[in-house]
Amino acid sequence: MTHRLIFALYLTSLLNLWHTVRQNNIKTGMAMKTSIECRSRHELVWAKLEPLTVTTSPYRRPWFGWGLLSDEGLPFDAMSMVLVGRQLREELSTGVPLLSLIPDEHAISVGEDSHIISDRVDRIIREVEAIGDVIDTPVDFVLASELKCLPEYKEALREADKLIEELKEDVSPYTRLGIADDVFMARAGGIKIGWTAVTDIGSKSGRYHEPATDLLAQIVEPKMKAVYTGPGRRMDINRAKAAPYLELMSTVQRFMLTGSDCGHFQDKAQACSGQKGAYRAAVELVKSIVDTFELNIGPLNGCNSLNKAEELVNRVAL
Amino acid sequence: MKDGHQRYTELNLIAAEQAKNILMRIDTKEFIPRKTQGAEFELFLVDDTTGHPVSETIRDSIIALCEKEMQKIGADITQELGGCAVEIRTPPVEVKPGFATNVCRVVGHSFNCLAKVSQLFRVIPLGAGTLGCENIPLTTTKEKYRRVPAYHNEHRRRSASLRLGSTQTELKGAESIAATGSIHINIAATDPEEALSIANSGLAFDGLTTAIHANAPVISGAVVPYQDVRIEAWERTHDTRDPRAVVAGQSSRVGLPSDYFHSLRDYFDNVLINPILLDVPDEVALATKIGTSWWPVRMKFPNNLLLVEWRMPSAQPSARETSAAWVFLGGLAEAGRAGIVKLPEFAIVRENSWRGRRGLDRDFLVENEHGATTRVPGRVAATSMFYLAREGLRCLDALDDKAEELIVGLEKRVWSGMTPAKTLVSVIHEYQQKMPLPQAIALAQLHLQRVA
Repeated sequence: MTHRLIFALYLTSLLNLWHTVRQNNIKTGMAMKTSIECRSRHELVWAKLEPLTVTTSPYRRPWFGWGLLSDEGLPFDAMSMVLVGRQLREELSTGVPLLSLIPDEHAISVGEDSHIISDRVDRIIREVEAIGDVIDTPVDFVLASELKCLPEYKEALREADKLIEELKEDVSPYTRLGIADDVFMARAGGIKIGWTAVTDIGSKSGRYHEPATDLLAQIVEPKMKAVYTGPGRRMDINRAKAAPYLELMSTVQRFMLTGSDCGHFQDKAQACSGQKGAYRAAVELVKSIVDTFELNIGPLNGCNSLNKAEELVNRVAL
Repeated sequence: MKDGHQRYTELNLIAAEQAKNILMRIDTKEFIPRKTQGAEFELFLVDDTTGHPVSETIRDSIIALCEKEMQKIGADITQELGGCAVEIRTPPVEVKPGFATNVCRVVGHSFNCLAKVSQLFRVIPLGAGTLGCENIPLTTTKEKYRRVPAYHNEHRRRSASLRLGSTQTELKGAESIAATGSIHINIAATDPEEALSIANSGLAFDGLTTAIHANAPVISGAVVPYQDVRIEAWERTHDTRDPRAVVAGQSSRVGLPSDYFHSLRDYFDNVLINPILLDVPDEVALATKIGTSWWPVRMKFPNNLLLVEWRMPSAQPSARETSAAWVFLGGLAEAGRAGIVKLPEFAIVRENSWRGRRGLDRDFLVENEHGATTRVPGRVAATSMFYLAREGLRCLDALDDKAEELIVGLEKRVWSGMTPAKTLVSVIHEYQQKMPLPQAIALAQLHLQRVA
């Protein structure tokens, strides 16, 4: 009982602290926006999660995860995450490659077939490596199934379980592993690149979105730090926002970077132009990615953003 | 009778003891101070009509016939990992006036001798970073050449991708590196500080040196999106890192170490941390561990000598280009010895190493005079290296007309962008109009070797 009380007090103080930090984040977030803005007319970074504690151990490398729950390939929006990762990596100046966590264990935890996942792992490594080459940035890969054997990861998972038990929240196996990933990576000096559907990452909307997992992880590990891009876009007014790194629905209304339905941007845009706001947002995101690429890496052939985006698709496919 | 595990544990301990012993002997100045350089270069022996690798038997016959002739100039020829590969070791050459002429003489004699003997078997010695034929050459049938790749195949981590980038080209396993060849320059140092200075300079030059000498755009019957895929192939097939090390961004025993070497003890720590892979006699335990640490530079301690080995460039197509590589690297090493190389942040070294494999067309990172990091095209970044190579040779009065001629040749290569890799790819594209790609690769490599 006493333990529970102490934990509740601890949680309250952390939440208060987090609230204060979040207020500060708005300021520091603005500073970050300014630094990204000077390289792009558009905004790829939507929000930041600052650590709760001032840490002396340095952040060494940005990391991100990829979805393995679909065979459709990567949406074009995935470029926003790697471009932000590239920018962060340059700011850190360690020369250490970006780190890509492949969540094979997570996919298996929600019932996916291990053989299918194994094939998808090969595919995603190949694709992300090609993207890294196109954005002139090295990427390392590590599988969640490799990490799970490490004592440090086991400890992170144990602490995640403890938190889940204390919170009495209904947490999916996927989220449970997500918390453990965050904790483990933060302790190893990683800064997470994630995505958020809303700029206010503490808001109740999008309860199961990535920042919600990260905020839980930050209770376990106050060093947890993250940078969020905006959501991926579908040209469908009924469901306009999506994970930037995964396509679970039909690819018809989405610009795809890899997979069998990649490219054909002009045709897709024409077919979906009736979707008004959703269409505009999807094309805007493509434009912001293309602009960021051209400002930071080099010019692309094409007379408009969609043509240029197709050129990027071709470069990744080479 | 000790079991395998016990024996390896024992050898690891012996190696640590030997390292301690070397540190003690260095303190008592038992090492012989020298200012000489020697070189090792690896060449493939291929059929002079098909470009395919020859059998081990033919390779060994050629070695046997060459040995006597090589010995006349104090050189040595031996087997290498690849069953069709040979390694030529030159005698040491003093870095003094006439250095470049002596280098050309030693290299030229070795190449000529090997070429003449090979001709008897209708074979051509081929200088390339990678042999691009479809079926990789077999490894030499010796225990050490079987066990080391087998260890890496068995212990490779699961997320180490053997597929090269977005291509369909998949490396076959650790044996793939039987198809790689390089040039090594051994620089004798007079004391540990000098050795460290030379070694760290070598690390600093890794990326650009690889790019300037790029000669490996092919492997496993395919053209790959690298100008020099040699070390990339090594790294991927030999990646046995613990996932903890991957997450921490630490390197393996291949490619770059995690940082500059801060002392000889630090170097030994880097060497000793990796387990020994071969059951060898006690006396060569440390040497074996050093020999299986495939960084761009090594420090070795044979016969009371302190040697720094630079291993960055791929093998070059001709005796002239090999001599140029030696004189250029030799000059850079002397600049390192003289302490006139300003070491950039190691993050820049890492970044440039990644870029170097992709070729001179990439932008490289350099520190400007204010200490800020900027990106410049490879050929611009290389300018300071040519300056340093000349200065290094000048320190020992070795910058004469011959040295200048060889260095200018390399400078022209850099400014035209036509590295051996680029030339090879353009010839392959021509051949590919008339035949399947793997055959085009083999014949293009053969054609360019003939021209060289």
